[in-house]
Amino acid sequence: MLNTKKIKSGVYFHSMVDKKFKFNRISVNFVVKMNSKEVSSNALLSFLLRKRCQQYPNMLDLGKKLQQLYGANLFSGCKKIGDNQIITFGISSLDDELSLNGEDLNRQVAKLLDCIIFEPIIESGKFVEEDLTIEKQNLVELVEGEYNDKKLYALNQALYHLFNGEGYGCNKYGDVESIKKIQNSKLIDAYKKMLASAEVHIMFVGREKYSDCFDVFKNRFDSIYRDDIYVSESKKYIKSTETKHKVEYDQVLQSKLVMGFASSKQYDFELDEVIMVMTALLGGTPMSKLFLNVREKMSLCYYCSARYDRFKGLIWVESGVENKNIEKAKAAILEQFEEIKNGKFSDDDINKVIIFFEDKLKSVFDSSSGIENYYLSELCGNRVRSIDDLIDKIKHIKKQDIIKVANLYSLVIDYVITSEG
Amino acid sequence: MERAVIKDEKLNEKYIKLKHKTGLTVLLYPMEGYSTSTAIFATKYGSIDRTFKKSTSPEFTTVPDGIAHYLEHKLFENEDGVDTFELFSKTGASANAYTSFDRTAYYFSCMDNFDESLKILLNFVQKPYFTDETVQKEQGIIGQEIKMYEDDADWRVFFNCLENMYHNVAVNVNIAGTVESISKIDKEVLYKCYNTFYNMNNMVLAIAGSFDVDSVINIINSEIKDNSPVEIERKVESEPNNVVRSISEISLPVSMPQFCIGYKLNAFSGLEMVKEEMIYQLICELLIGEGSEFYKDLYDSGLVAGGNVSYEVFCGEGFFSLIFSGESSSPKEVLSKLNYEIERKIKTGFEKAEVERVKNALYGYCIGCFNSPNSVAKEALNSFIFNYDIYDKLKILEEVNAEDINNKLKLINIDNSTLSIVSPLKN
Repeated sequence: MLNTKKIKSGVYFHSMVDKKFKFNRISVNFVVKMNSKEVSSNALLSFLLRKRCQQYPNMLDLGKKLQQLYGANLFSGCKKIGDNQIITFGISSLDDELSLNGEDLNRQVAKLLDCIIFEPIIESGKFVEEDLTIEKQNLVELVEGEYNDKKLYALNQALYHLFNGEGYGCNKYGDVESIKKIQNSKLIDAYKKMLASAEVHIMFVGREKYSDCFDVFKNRFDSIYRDDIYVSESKKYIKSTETKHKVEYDQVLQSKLVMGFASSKQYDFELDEVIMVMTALLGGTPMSKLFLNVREKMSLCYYCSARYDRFKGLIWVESGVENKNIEKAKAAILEQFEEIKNGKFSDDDINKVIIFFEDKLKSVFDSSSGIENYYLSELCGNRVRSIDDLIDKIKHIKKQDIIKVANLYSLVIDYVITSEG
Repeated sequence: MERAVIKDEKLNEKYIKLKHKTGLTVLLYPMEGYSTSTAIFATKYGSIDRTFKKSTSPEFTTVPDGIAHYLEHKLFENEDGVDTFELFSKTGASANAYTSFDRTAYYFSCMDNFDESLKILLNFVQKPYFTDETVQKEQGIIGQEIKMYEDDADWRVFFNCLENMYHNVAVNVNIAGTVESISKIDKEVLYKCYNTFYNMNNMVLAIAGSFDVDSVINIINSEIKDNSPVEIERKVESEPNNVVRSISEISLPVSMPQFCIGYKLNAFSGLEMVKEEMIYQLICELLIGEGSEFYKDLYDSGLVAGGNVSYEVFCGEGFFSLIFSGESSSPKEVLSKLNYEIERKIKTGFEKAEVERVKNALYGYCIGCFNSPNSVAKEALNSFIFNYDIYDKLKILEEVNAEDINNKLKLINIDNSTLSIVSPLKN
């Protein structure tokens, strides 16, 4: 079970201990509202801070320290969960008990992470200018580099167009133009705001001793003034406009087709589990309608899958299609969705999906990053469901429930990258 | 069944190694505290095995490129028309398969119903069923898969690097083959490959996680079919020491140039190869890891995106090379700097203290392999393919010293390197 302690206003320490793990994973997650004005600065912070800190002012020394700590993995970055941007800093490292010379790795690692986040090198009220220049360039390259992965790029573009580049439509790293404009003093302001106002979830998943970690971050937040604290939230997207159709031309051998579906009516969050099962029935497993029909029987796509984003209430279908078959694939996907709306599936099909989820959800406990990701998502959704409760809900879903939610949904956007001619 | 228990006292872990009467190697790694299990049923047969014969056959056969992968796809179909995924969907297991250069692996992970899932795995892999019609039909899906990879810059830059390095070893050919080569595949050649490489003597069953050892042994005894052991001879193409070409460049829709730099080294076999792999991993980490001056220089200069150059010791039967990859506005400059750094380090050598520090890092990485049923099962499979025991890597690591590192470093020949570039399209 996840054990949660409140450290300070809007700051929570969550732990889950399990002796089977050989590594401990600590992450500090700052949750802020996703908006186009601040997303780039927040993203930049996640990369800038990990380069050096007061204890290790030279990034070479920091790199050596991580190697010495048995290759401890210092990670940082951003996630988008619903309308929230999550700025994460974390370390995964070997537990004390497995060190070769009895080192106190747990304490050293917690202190190092604390130093990285809270003791950056700030001189005359500014970050090191050289770091800022390099990290801005790196972040620009990272955002531009998403174009290399056409599958990801197509999904991001569909999101951008659906939300006109605002909120949930923002790239989690921001946009190139905004990144280039970030000024040192403004970044300091963003840093201060993140420490003072973000909702903070500190997660420890590991072998046993989390007290060192708890003490380090408790002491830290005791000395931080907190005000105007953000509470994570997400609003479901409701279809209110005509379906958008977007086509982009590029030199690709295989086209990418992304289709977004949304409900045209408000619905209760209690329906999330039903929509999740319905989406899996459509395209979430190798037994789904999209896999069996669009891929296997019709040989239209190498991949064709669906997933439900419960925070925004959107269903995304992604596929890789031969250029000449785009319209056929689109029609076939819509047809499969219609079949679900018309109840053309059996109780046996539902049972298979339920078994699939049961297995998948229980498996979460065998991976520290799996546990961290599951609970972080739940915490940002303001509704922490235990895995047992979630499985229980899923098991009670009936065919009529699925038909009902499927009929709430219709296409809101399709986005295609294909080659000309 | 022959049975051995292999232990590591320091790690306080153990696993069981069995040899079934059919020749099948069984590696069982129970893991306390875990709820899931991973089972891998694999054959030592990959894309590089293009010319071979049974020891009883007079002549070698050469088969179309991509056939091991094609076979992998086809085995999921059953004679009664029931799809294998459908069978797994009743147990809740997540199942899949992959083909690489030297192996084809079928696997599942699950929480419940392990025994039922294991029976499905063992059965479908042992029951090939191909017709002209189903073989023909698969060309559409695999053709799509090949095209998807042709658009993938990471894949293309890596494969072009292999093509630049290898003259004859078939790592220079796409694992899935080409649209043209797969058009030559028919059911006869599929059966021929199946009957050669899916002999139990050439296969392994590796299981890790939460399962009952006795129950697994009973299932193996009841489900594994008798077969006469087959001895396979793979035609080993002689491979010149030198690279094919020193540079190649193609254009794709990417935001900035991507590169792979390859240094070709002599190939090894078995445990010796594993030892060499560990040593060269340490060398790569010493050269460009986060604690190296070279990494800092690359980061500060902004020459490589994010300062990140990833490395891989790419090795198997008949091939061994070091591959460095990343994104840079000037890949040629990266190559030049890396060559300079290697030459500099060959002259100065690495010091004992830095070698010990990097050994620590690799020790942590090795322990990481024992942190999930999935990674343990994969490591067990590797140990079968290259014929070592799972804990050998930790022993090797303990014994490696700075002298070994510096001696092996000297064998990297910067004149035997290649640069593969994928650059952005013009306009």
